[in-house]
Amino acid sequence: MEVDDLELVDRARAGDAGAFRTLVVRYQRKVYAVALGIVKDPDLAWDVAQDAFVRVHQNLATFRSDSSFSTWVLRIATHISIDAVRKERRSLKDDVADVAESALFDGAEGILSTALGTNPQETALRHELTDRITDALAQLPEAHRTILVLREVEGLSYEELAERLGIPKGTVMSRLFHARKKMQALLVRYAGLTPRPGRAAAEDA
Amino acid sequence: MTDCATYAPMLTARTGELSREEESRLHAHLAGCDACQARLADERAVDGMVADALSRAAARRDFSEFSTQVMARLPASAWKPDPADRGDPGAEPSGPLGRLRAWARHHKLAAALAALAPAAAAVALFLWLERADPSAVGGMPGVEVSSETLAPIVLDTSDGPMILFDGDGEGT
Amino acid sequence: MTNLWKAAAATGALAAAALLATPAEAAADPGIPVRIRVLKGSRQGPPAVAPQLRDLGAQLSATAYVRWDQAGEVNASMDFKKPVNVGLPDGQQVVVTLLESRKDTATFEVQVPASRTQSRLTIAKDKRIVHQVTAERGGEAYFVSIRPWP
Repeated sequence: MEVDDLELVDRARAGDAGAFRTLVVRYQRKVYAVALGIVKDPDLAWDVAQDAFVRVHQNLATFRSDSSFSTWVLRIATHISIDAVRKERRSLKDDVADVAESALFDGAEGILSTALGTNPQETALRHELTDRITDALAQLPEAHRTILVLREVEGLSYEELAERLGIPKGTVMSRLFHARKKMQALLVRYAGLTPRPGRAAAEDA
Repeated sequence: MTDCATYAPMLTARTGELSREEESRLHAHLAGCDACQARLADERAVDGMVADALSRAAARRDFSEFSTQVMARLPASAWKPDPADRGDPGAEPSGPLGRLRAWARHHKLAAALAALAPAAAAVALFLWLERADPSAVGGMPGVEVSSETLAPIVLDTSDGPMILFDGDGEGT
Repeated sequence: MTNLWKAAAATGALAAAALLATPAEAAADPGIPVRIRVLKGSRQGPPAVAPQLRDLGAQLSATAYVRWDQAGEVNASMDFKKPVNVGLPDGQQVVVTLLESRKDTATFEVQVPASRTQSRLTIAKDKRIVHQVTAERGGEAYFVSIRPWP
């Protein structure tokens, strides 16, 4: 396959501009995707992604070759992204270890899977809903967006999320749960589906 | 607190993220809870959509300028100059590569690579022929491209050479 | 880890047969086996690489074209200096000629008469050439890939 990341890092450290540029190109879109999920605005995400690579370059000397370049650059990107939306942060009232009862029984469970199903005709709905996800993400509070993006795009485990965000594992799980619920409620609304009688599907931030 | 409040957040755990005991209790709960089974079905239905959505947004965007902009923000002093340009005897053999570089400069390719016009460059990867071309056997150069109407860009990738054309057909 | 770049199933692979010209006859000289494919790269549409093009993934992903379909294929036993015509869906022709081959390398010439483009490329046995053959129009462009001893 291609030249591996660690070799490119070594070459870049030795002054090889082409090697560094190759690393940028290799990861630019993934870094952008993570940034976009967290900061919402595409132009800001572009700038954040660039900042991430600039910072990577500044810290090339300290990168340890026993870890993965991919993890490293994404960690930097997350950090810069969260920083960029810092003003948006506020304490989450539902960020507790226990999931509130009221959050659970809104009658919406099963609606999305029924609508999306396995019927090929329904893949158009999936495609359409996927396009709305960036809208839905934008409506979530920063902490929920961030944890969803890190989980889904960067693929972090509960343990890694706990470490990255500085929260206990129980909080990771409940925050993810709430983030997903809100996202799904928004998708149900976009798809024009109706939850069964119960609480309204969408919770406001 | 009902069991669902405990178990619903566990539904999206991956292998190894729950203890054996948590897993078996989760399965036991699922066996008897329609609501949680429906929640699990929902999670499966939307699995991967966030990643898909963001990767599509990234794919749609034109990144041809991105790395150039990053490189422009880095100090030039960070990089070693190209040995062949200084006629360094320890550098790559000047034969085929030297001719290619001369040809590239003549066709203003080096300038094109340094700052691609945003209009239509299809290039996202820049790996110029820095290393000795193993295919330059018997004095025949590895790559020669000439075109009267299009501006070729030659890339070397680990799977072989790519020839792209800068500019679009609409006569910009 | 979540695969960020899941490729959707390719749709609408273009019919190939009617567009291809005669491959070189293999009569007396054995020639070398060469696989030539016509590819269409597009900026629009969901990112997808047609399944049969996955082996070119590293090269194709280096471009800004996100969607790749195969639009034709010629499997020829190529003799030296005998041109092979490859037709593109828009009617243009690309001419591929084998100039030389040694133990581990082969040298090809690719000509695109419409743009008066001519390339000479030497590649090692396990490599492939990917060569754009039309200017980008409406976010799309055609390419040929050439692989000796496929």
